[in-house]
Amino acid sequence: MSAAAAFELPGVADLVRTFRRVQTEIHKAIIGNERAVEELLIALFAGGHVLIEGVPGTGKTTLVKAMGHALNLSFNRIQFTVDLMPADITGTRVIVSGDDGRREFAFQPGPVFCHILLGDEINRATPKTQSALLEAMAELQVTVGGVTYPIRPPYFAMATLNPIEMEGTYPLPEAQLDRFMFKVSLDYPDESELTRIISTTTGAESDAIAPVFTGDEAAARIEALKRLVREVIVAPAVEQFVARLVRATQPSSAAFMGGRKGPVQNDAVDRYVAFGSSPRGAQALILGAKVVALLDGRANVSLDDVERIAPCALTHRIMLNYAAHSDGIEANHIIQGVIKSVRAARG
Amino acid sequence: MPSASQVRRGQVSRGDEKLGVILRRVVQVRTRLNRLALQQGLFESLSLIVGTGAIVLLAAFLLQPLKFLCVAIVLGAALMVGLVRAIRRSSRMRATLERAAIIADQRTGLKGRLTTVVSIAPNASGRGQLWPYLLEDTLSLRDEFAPAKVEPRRISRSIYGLLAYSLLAILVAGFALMERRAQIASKAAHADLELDVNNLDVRPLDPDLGTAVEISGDPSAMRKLDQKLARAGNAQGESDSALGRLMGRARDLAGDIQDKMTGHESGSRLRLRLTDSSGRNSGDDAADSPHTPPEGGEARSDRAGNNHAPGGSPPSQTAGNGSPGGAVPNPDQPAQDRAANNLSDEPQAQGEGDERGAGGSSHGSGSDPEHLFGQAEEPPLGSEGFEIMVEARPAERGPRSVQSYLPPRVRASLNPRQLPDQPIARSAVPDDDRAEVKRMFDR
Repeated sequence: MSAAAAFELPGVADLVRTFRRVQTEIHKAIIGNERAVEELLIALFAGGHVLIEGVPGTGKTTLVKAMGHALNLSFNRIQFTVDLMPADITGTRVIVSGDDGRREFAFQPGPVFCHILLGDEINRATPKTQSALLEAMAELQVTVGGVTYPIRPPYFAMATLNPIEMEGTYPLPEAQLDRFMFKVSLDYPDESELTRIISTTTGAESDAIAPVFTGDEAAARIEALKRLVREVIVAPAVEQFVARLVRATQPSSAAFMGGRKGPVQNDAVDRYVAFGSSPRGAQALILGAKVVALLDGRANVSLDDVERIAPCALTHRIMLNYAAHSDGIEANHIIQGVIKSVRAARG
Repeated sequence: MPSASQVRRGQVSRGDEKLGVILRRVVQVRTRLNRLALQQGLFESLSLIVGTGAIVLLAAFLLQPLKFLCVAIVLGAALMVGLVRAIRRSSRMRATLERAAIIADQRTGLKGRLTTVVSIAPNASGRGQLWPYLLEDTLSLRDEFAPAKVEPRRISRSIYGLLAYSLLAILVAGFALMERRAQIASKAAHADLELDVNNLDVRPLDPDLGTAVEISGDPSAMRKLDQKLARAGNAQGESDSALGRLMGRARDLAGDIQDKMTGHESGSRLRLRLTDSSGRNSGDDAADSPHTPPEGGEARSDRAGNNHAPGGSPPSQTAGNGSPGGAVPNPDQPAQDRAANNLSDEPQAQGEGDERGAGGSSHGSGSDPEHLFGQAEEPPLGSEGFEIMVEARPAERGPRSVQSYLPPRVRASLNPRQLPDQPIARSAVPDDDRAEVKRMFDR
């Protein structure tokens, strides 16, 4: 049984309303994949970045574009290729002529300077170029030529991955993967969704996505809602649950654990996991759960909220070993097992 | 118009009131949960005690002392472990305020609201901008976490276990009562025995069998009994191991406990009065005071009496050879019994002739050819009242289907119109039928 909230705080109601409206607008362009869209928006209001994985043609780029239009925020797209350079992302210093005819170096901002950034097929660029995004994603700033340039919030980076074309790609390093709050998978549409896609995208007219915010207020409103998310109360028991969950993703043999075993041990983790989640995983769990709680009209985080978020927050943070690949084990299975173990240990 | 600080103070006090209402309700939930935990511990403990007691009582009636002792020890240990576990389980079920909130959240679908309120409440700095919202939201759902909704039961389910065990105890108590009545009835059937101490034979017997005998007699008879038992005890002491003595003590202890539980202690004791017919004591100062023989003697005497049942003692036991054990009274057995016993008593008679010679009357009788022919002897006085307890069990029994069928008796009156039997007049048989009639008779 779920108890519905009988009392509404204006900020909470605003977040729920905004969230649903953006969701509706995005679904004008994206048919199906409701869960993926919701996770994308949760990451936006939680202040994180998202890695989108899906086979070609499932609407990865369309989704990100639709989101940019719905939020009415500045939007840039970078097509990652093998010859892309870091300066192509961050920007560079160029010689410009001044009004007085003098020539001087001036910083030309790259596409990273925007509110919503889409890095398409990020694994096609070299690690050096991929790393150009790190500072921007983590610290909302770019340093070029010894000068640091801040990025105006809200900043929301999304990168797409193509899981089937691996030739000529550079898998993202763990450090970069960890900076993405969620990894969202776009599933192949089923028959009815495919039919709707065909009918809505091949006709003479299609639904135009209406911006939810006006251009002036968009950034401020989104930032205010992100601050509200941070106000959601988390009980110590929930924090402890998250801490146990994240620790339980680490195999007991991990050298960096210093031989300190957590209270919850899972055989599957010991057998199939090379490295578990980092503390950033715990932060992602809590922040994502806070948004879920607000969407449910609650000012507190429950364990159910954490469990709802766990798959998308931890999947890309768990590095599986060769045994897992040979046995066909996926990170999602491991996470479900870990959740069950931690729940059982909690009693 | 109130100032901003007054408004804030008012909001804070209202918030505290709401918090108080929520916390009071959680306290009520906790009280209810703890009451159930206490009931569970109590009922489980009582169930264990009642159930174990019933089984031990049943074992006291059904088992032999050593087996009873083993069962009682095992059950006692199990009871201790069970009690500790029941108390631990009960104490683990005890709910703190936080635990009560967690349980209420889980059972009413409040999704962690109560847990959050209870855990954040003491820490004022942990309350954020959404704290009033959380309080208001939780308070609006107060009907959801009413104690009766969180825990509908007032009485723990473990009471069913207690009832079941109580039923078992009642059945066992009924059984025990019936057994006692049967013992009281059998006590009345036991007659006092009088026996010449010279005819007392000490032999080893199964110590688990039978009940004790209360022996009384004149001083000289008791002295002789003591001597016999001492001799038997010495002989036994040489052959007995420490383990055997320990077993004997354990057996005695178990027997005492069993007696106390079953009420056997005085109910079924035989009273054996010893006399000394050697003539040195005419009985004028015969003390009638009951005398308890040395340790083990009492039981042995009695067991001898019991095992005197047909087939009860093998020849090796009867031979005695100084081996300790029970005392066998056998002066006035029926002839066939005596004959059977004397077959095995012959070697013993040679070894203990000095003591047996005084009694004389029973020695050599039965199958001894010298006594088969000659003048009939007068049986000693007092032998008319001698009774031998015979404990008989069916040795073999055929299958039920083979058992003979006894038809019920039927009393039926004769038919008043029935004519007396008369020969049937010969009549002519048709030619066609003759062959058939002849064939019938031939068959």
